[in-house]
Amino acid sequence: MESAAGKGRRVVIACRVMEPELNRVQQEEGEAVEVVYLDQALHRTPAKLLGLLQEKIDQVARMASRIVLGYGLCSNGVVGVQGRQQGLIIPRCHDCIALFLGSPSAYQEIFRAKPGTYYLTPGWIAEKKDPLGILDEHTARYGRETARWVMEAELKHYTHIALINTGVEEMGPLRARAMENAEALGKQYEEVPGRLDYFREILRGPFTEEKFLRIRLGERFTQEMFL
Amino acid sequence: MTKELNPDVRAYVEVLLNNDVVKAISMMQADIDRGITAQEVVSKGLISAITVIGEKFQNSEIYVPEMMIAARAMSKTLAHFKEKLVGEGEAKTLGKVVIGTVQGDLHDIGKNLVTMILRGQGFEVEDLGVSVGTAKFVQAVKEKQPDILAMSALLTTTMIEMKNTIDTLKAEGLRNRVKVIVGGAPVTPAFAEQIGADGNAYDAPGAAKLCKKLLP
Repeated sequence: MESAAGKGRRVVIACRVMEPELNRVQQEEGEAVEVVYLDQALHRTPAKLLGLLQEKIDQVARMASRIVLGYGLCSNGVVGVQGRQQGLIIPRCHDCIALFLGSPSAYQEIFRAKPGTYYLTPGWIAEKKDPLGILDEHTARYGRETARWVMEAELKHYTHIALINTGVEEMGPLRARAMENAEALGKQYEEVPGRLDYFREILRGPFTEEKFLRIRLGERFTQEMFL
Repeated sequence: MTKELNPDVRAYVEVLLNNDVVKAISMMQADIDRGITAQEVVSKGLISAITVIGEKFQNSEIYVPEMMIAARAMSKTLAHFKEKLVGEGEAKTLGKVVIGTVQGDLHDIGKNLVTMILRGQGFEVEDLGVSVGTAKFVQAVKEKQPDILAMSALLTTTMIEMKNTIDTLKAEGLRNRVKVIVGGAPVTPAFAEQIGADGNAYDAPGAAKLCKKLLP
């Protein structure tokens, strides 16, 4: 998976939602890996995510010996992404919640047990991409009443808002904001423990079959690979 | 000589996006007073308008909130003419549809829009709601004997449930009794074909068109 010459840097291109966790792991591990970030919430516009991610991959490709993506299928946003100078490695998951919970199977288990749960993470809250943040965005465009109506419809059947605590940030203010989300939307608040293992593996491997997908030079990610 | 609607579909697009229910009702009444059936005004006015609005959504000219506003305005307009529409359609329905969002998936904005448009067009629709398990879908096919089973998913994590339902219908010898269509933002035509569905539509107006197409 590393380029034939073995030269260049190991690069990770990740969604900014996981910046707190990747930063922590980088500090702990002292890994000589370059991490570049794209804006959060691009899963809401998958076509845009594809374009921006491909652009970034092409930009770093020349100086990279290995490229690992800090993404999952992300609402099909990575479908079509191609490694044009080397292969690519990506977590074998539908979205980043599996990363925060430690594995695809951990996510599947909790998802089956509690499907009505809206997850929040430290990075997500810090950038105000949570429901309250989206509510503010909608309010600016449509007014408070319509914004609330839309938000309530989107989350109508959800019962819980859960903050995944990965232990990397000061939780006080994040917890307060997460609780504010829950109260504003009439959902129950809960906190679940997160893990850093997946993030460690994104930085240093070994990229186990259970947790990662690989594509070869010239190959593109397909939806099927993740299902 | 067919009577054209006056004003045309663009005016219906505008009143729906502006949530001007009063005007939508008066426009529809004016068309009915000119001798056009309520059902035809619904098809050529409201549903054509929501189709145009759907295309704007597809092109990212508008977003979910605008779609919801237009859908709600359409729903209120349809409700106003409910008795008239029921009276006109008394002889027959276009067909029976069972619809639901798949197991583990709690999203229903798009599904609800499909339900509304199908009913507006004269279909009988049994809406099973959200997080509908395979067993419940299969039971509904047995009991209600619909022409079409429509499944919705908004998450890639739950899409696979569509395959489970289709496989169970096959295993129980029911697959040939019903047409199965699938939809929702992450559901692609390739996925629909791969799992053995009869069709896939990108959006609610597309789903309604597909249902008409699939009827014998």
